[in-house]
This record gives sequence, C-alpha cells and structure tokens, in this order.
Amino acid sequence: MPEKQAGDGESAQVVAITGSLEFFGSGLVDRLESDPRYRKILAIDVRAPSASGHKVTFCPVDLTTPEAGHELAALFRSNRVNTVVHLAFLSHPIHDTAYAHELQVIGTMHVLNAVAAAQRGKTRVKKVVMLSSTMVYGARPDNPNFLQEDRPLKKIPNCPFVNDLVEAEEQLHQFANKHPKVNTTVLRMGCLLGPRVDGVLPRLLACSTVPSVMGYDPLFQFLHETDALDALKLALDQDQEGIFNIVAEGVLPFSTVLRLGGKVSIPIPHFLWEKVSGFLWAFQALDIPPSFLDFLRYLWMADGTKARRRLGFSPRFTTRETLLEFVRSSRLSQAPAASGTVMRSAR
Amino acid sequence: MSKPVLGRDPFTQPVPTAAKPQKKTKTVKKPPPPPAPPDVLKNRGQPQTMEQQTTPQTSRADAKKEIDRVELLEGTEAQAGPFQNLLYKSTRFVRPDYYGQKLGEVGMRFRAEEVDPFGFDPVYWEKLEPIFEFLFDNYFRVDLFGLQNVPDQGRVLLVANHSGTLPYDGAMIKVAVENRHMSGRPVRFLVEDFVFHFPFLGSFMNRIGGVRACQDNARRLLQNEQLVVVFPEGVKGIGKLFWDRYKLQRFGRGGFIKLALRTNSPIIPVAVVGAEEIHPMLARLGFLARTLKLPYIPVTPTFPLLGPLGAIPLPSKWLIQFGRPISLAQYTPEDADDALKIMQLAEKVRSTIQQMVTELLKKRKTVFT
Repeated sequence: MPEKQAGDGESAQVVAITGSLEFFGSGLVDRLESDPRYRKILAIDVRAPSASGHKVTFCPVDLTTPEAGHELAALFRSNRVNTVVHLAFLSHPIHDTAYAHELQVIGTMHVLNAVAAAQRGKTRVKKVVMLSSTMVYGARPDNPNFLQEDRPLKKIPNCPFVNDLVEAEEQLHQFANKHPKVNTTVLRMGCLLGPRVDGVLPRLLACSTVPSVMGYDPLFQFLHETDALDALKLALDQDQEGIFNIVAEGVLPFSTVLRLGGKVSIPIPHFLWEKVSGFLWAFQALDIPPSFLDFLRYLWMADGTKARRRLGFSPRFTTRETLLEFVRSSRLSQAPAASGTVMRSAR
Repeated sequence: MSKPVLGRDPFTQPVPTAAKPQKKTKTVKKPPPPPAPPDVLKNRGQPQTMEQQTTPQTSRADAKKEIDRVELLEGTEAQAGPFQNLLYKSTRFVRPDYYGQKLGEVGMRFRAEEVDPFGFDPVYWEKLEPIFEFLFDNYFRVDLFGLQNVPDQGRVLLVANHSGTLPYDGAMIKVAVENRHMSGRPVRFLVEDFVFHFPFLGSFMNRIGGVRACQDNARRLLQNEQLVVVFPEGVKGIGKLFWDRYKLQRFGRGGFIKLALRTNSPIIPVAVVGAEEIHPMLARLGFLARTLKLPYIPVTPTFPLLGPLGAIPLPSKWLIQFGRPISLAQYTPEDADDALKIMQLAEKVRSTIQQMVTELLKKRKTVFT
C-alpha cells in the first residue's frame, strides 16, 4: 500500500466527493482534474454535472435516502477510494429544516458509516475531509476576538442550520476516536464572499440597502472563494489531521463593510428586527432566519494561525480586497440574491 | 452554488494566475444561462451590463470568455463607446447604487479602510482625539507623575484603579501615554464584558481601542508586544458610591496576575485621582438596571434630575501616577495555576496602588484645583 501518493499510475489517489455539484465540489473537481496525483474522481451528487472531465465519474447517490450508506460503501470498495471529501452541506439556511437535517446530519452519518465499512476491504479509505463553517462557534458577546479550534462547540437555540453542522462535526469527532487509522480533517471556513459562492452574507451584501442591527458593529473577516478552494485542495494534498479555521487576513467592522461597499445601511433596533424577521421568515418572505441576527451583533471571528502554520495556507485576498472584489463583481453581474433558488445542488 | 449568469467560474482561476494553462475537457456544452430579467438590466444602466448580456449567449465557457470577464470585472468606462458613456453618465443619478456609493464615501471620512485586528479605527480616533485632548488639558487639567516608568517598547501591563461611573480614566490614560509619553505607543485597554451586550457602547469602545476583557484577547495583545491597560476592579470599582471613594475594591480573581505570569509581562501600577468626583454617585437604581440588563444606573446630584445635561462630568482636578514596574520575573508561568499565590500577588498590587492613591490625594489641595 503506497504511503505517500506522489506520482501517477496506480499509486495516484482516488477521491470521492460528496456534494460535487455545489460550489466547493465543482471547484475542487476542477482543481483535481489538473493534478496528476489524483487518478480518479468520484463525483457524488443527486444530479449529473452538465460537463465533466475525463477523470470524473459521476455516481448518483441521494444522501437523504436510507440506502445511501450501502451505496456509498459499495462505491468506495469497488473504486478503491483513498480519500473521501464530504462537502454535501447547505451553504444557506433553508425553510425545510427537516430536509436540511436529513441531508447534513444523517447524510454525514451515512458517509461515515460507509467509510467505516470500507475499512474492512483491501484498500481502505485513509482520509476524510469535511467542510464546516466558523459559524459553528456561534456569535456570542463573550467570544474572544479570535476563536481557536479547541473552543468547545455549543448549540445555538433556534438555529438548526448551525446546529446541524455542529452535530455533523460531533459525529466526525466520534468517528475519529473509533477509527484512529483514518485521518480526519475538518475545515471551518470563515465568512465566504465571492461572485459564485452562496451564503447568508453574500446574499445580504448583494442588496443595495442592507439592514443592520442598531448599535452593534461586529468585526468581520471575509474569505475569498478561491482562497477557500485553495485551502480545501491543500487539506487534501497534505496529511495534516484535525480542525482548521480557514480565514483571511485583516478585519473590518460591519459599518465599514457597508460603507466601502457603497451600501445604504438601515439600522434596525434588535427587538424590532427579531420580531419582524421571525414573522417574515415564517412566511418565507425573508432568506435570513431570525437566529442569524446574532451573527450581525457579536463577534465570531476565528484565528487562522493553525492553518497557516500546519497546512501552509496563505490567503491571497485580504478581507478588504475580498469585499471590494465582491462588490465590484456583484455590481456588474446580476445580484446573487436574485439568481434562482436556494439548494440547487442538493435537490 | 453557481450563479447562472456568471457561467463557469472565472474566479477559480484568479486574476494573477489566469495564465495557468488549464485544459478544459468539457465534453458537454453548457446550457446558456437564463437571460437576465429586463428590468434588472434597465435599472443598472451600465454599459458593461449590456455587453455582458450578450457575451454568455455568443461564446462558450472557454478561455476567451474568461479573459473578457476579467476585463469586465476590472470594469473601466473607457472600454465603452461614447454613446454608452453618455448613457452611463446620464442615468447614474437614477440608480440607487450611485447614492449608496456617495453615502459610503461620506461615511468613510470617519472610518479607516483598515482597522487593526481588535477593531481600533485610527481615523475614528483622530476625529475624537481633540475632545479627549480638551478634557485632558483644559477640563480635568491632568497632572502626570512618573510617566518615565512606562517603557518605550515591549509588552507591559498597566494596572489601574477604576472609578467615575463612566470610564473616563481609561481615556485619560490613553491620552497620557499616546500623546505625552516619548514613545507615543498605542494603548489598548480591556473593557468589561457587559459593555459588549449593549448597543453602541461596545462598538464605540472597540473603535477607540478597547478590547473585550478575556485572557485570550489580552494574551494575544501582550504577545504582540503591546501596552495593555487593565482595571481589575471592574464594575465594582467604577460603580462605587461617593462615600466609598478611593477605597480600592477587590482585584477580581487575579486574572491580570495570571496573564502577567503566562506572558512574562511586567506590571506597572497606575493610580488615578480625580475620577471619583466627576460623577459623585449617591445611589444605584437596581430595579431599573435589572430590567435594562445594565450593571447599575447611577443617581448623581445631577444625573436623572437634569436629564442628558446631568451626564456632563464635573471638572475635578486629576492626578495620574505611573508607579515603578513590578517585576514578576522570580515566578514561573506554572505559578499561574497556584490560586493562593495569585491572590496574594493581586493583593500586593492592590495595596501598592492604594498607597499611591493615598499619597496622590495628599498632593491635591482641593477637589477642583
């Protein structure tokens, strides 16, 4: 069994990517395509990609179905998968929280079960890389300015989107304890911004008038989407284990973000916004659930030194550059919020 | 998630490395993105948008388009024809973008484009500095003693007594070190937790250099060789009643000692005299404070009586003394886990500052002169 997968031919790696149609999945497929260290890519999603390279094999598996675990295990064994990249997460909260739970928590369970089953075969899965977000720390008034990876995660009341991620991470943690031979990596992506990536902040900042919480001005770090993909590729290339915060350099207060972006900010008192946004969310008139208001009130920045030191990740864009880039591109293209539905990749 | 209008992501190959030869092995042609709704395009009467409307339909997701896209994103008006330029110029006033941008430009006069990792905004402070300078020189007429004890560089922890209902003492120490000390080194002060639960207060403190008081933040600052001011008395100190003035309260749980030991920073005791009299607090309204989730609501001779006017501090005479550095070099970072030793050291620092305060009080003739 080859230990270091450098070179090509039989020693090159086989990578399985769940959620391969989403932003992260498709970006990673593009990058692996041009890398000789990777022999074969299993693109796992519910829909077939519209275009694919010669290394890519599309495997339709719906993670929300009960047989997903079996199907994945069979796929991993028959294709001799070395690395599983689990990216089937939502980028944005959806109204159908039950479905979100099925996809994110139960889906992760299926993937991990399949990896565990693939341990018994001749070639085993040696590495699992999972996507997460720095949102799992939660925005709290007693957060330090830079959260570190070892901070215990707590669930946030009424915030299923974040809680699903926390649960998925917990599962991976338990899995790692049970299977010490499998290298597990979690990438907690900071606040992503870019012309292609979706999320709460990109949607919010795509509007020309942005509501803010009156009197609160938390600091933000924005990670450019290409940097995020670079980090994902780095995590795949290297055998570093553990949890990594992937964040950009520099911080900006939210008020400065809005000013630099040329947005008109509407400060709304928190109690009012909580009520109104709860109402609007319930009637599906608003994309942002009321539990997200805390992310506009308190700090949730993360410390990226671990990724810098151990993964060698150095973001190309600073927070400010990312923001300006995003504003420029969204001014020229259509506003992301206006472009189609949530969850195009998951269904 | 993909945005249909943008097509295949041009940003996966970012601008600086766009020359990287990546073979597009697309076998299936991408379906053309859905045309943008006409009203959106009309709203944004930019020439770039018009061009863009045509590009995805005429060209495939190939390299040429990516280059076009990059140029589009760099977006200069010079590329457009004279007619388009005219159209752009004449219609920009009707687009909400324009006003947002102008508003942002005006707003940015009070903000720096780069803040430091803890949110200190140099431009914001620059605008406020004259007010604090006025308070320092003309209003409180601060006399400084022992400023030479503050080192020009390197990590150092300034420990001061806290008083005055509103934290003017922090601001005065900041002005003293930044504008009166030879080095003019930046001052970061640690701010009580509860401040960050409140609208306006927390963000204001953040912009002028306050940092939420916690071991993590303070350690990070000291490791960056910064000067950090800490008020270990916390709310108990700042919310003292008038007849308890200049009686230093318990120094928390000795967190600042742990901090100094773990980061191996010297401690400089600082005594502030005069801040106790700016808002002589006669009583605390507990009930109202609890409903508003504030630690206290002060009753001063002027405050609820005169409304906002009552929030103007009294012009007491201030004296600030910077003591000799207390070195903790004989202790090791492991001592930070010895709770008894910590409390003992904290008490030692407290009594030093208490002594300095008592000495300073003798120097002052009356409260206001």
